[in-house]
Amino acid sequence: MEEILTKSLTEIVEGIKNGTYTSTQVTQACIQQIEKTKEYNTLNHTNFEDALRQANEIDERIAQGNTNGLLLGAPIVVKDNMCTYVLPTTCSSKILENFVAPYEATVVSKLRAEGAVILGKANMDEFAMGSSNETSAYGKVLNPCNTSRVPGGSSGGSAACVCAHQCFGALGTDTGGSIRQPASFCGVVGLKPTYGEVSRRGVVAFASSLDQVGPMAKNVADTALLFDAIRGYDAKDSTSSNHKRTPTAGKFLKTLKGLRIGLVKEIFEQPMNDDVRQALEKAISFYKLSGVEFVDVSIPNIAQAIDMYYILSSAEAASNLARFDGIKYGRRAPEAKTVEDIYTLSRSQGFGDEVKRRIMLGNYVLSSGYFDAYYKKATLCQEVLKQQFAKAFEMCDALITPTSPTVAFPFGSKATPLEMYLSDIYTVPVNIFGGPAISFPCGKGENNMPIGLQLIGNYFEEQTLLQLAEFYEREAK
Amino acid sequence: MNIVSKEDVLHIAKLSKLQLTPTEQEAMQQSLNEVLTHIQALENIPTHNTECKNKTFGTLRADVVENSMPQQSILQNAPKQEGGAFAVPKVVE
Repeated sequence: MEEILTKSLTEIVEGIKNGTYTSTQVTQACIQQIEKTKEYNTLNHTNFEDALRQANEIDERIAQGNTNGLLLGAPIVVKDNMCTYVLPTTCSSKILENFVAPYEATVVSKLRAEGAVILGKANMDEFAMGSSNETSAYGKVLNPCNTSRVPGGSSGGSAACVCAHQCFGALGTDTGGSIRQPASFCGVVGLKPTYGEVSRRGVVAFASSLDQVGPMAKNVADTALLFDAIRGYDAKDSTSSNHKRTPTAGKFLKTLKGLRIGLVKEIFEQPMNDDVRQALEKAISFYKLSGVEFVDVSIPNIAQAIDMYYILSSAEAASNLARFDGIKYGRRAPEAKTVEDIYTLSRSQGFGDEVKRRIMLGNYVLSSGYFDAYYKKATLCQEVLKQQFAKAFEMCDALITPTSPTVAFPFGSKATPLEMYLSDIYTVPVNIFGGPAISFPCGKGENNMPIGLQLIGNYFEEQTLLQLAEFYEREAK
Repeated sequence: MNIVSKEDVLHIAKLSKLQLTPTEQEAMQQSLNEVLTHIQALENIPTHNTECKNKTFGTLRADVVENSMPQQSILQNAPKQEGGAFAVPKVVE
């Protein structure tokens, strides 16, 4: 079993394809591992009988000679904000307890079409609002690297289950860093694709102009494979981009000569722990020695992205979450006598504190008298920041930053919501800009906790990021 | 800084269809003020020459009539249903 679990996704798919393993064996190994490491609390919903049924179907198809599928037979976990048949979709919120979606998210259908076994639904911060997984109604996820520390958020369950070898890859969503920061905290790889690259149909919306689905895996090659499986145009997502896509998996480089990385001046002026700063400097030296050319660039308002983010994302969240009213689905307060009561009581009982705060903040910045000062100003600032990014990318292929200013912090250590928000200072600008970014491990810091390095790319340049990251993973000592 | 008053909190809660206990109101006021104070930093970014481009939409699909989801699927998560419809308390007396 150990032998199976420590394999990569790429190896396991190859092994299933050539008959070394069956999907049933691999799925059973993952189920045993989930049961053995239950304390991490990574999964909100599982149905092992159904998972084994899926695995058996794939094994039967292989027996008939059909070995198609990028993810043939591999058990994959999806975040609990992606609609699935059979398993509930609850976004770690009480307001959606017992909700089973009547349709499946495009990304989940794509996983199935590529031969994946849908193993379970990953725990997360409630409605993806949080950076530590502490806001989940299903309880916190423990970081498998050190269980007294947070796994990061909001895709903390997805990152932790990859780290704990409970699956061979996972999907997360990233609105302000929710794939990259937990990947960094748990020592795995996470890719936030360009806005419009992956369909969001059937993914419960948090901030629609920023949300994006992406892969999380044990290494860069696996991340590329999973990315290839889920990307693509979707006529049912009006923000989906209809451009030609070529596969990214396996297209790695022997040399990085000719590539340019930009050092953003303002990033180095931001707070960053010493261990993180050292790891960043070491990675920069590595890339320099590997032939990458470095250029200095400036993105003057990168640090204010966090302010734009909390206006835009909260405004959109307040509108998106208005649909949870206790009428058509989700929790309805049993004692409600009037329609007004149904709305107010169901929402007050169903939402947790952080979600309520974002709704309140969103409705405040959208309310009459404040709209121009906050919401409109933020959209104009977003445009300014996008232009600054565009100018930086005229000079380089990627930007390098840490993923987070610290390694995974202990539970309960962020005293105020603002303090928690500021921990996303390096990831949030990417969502405001809309391009892709990858986080991958670049050493260990305080208490032997993993440190993540972030590379940011221009629109639809995921391939370059994967190549740069894979080279580091393969060659850096 | 006190940007949001206690009355503002109550007003926004009402608009948001949320009921907050007195303790929650106080904590909410404090955290909203803290965040909004931080957000004021945006005032320093000059935007008078900037135009807001709304590029949220990619390609819109053709508006083709197709079968919708079966009624039973739509109702499967209804907290209360009656005669093939969502049931709610009487709205008009």
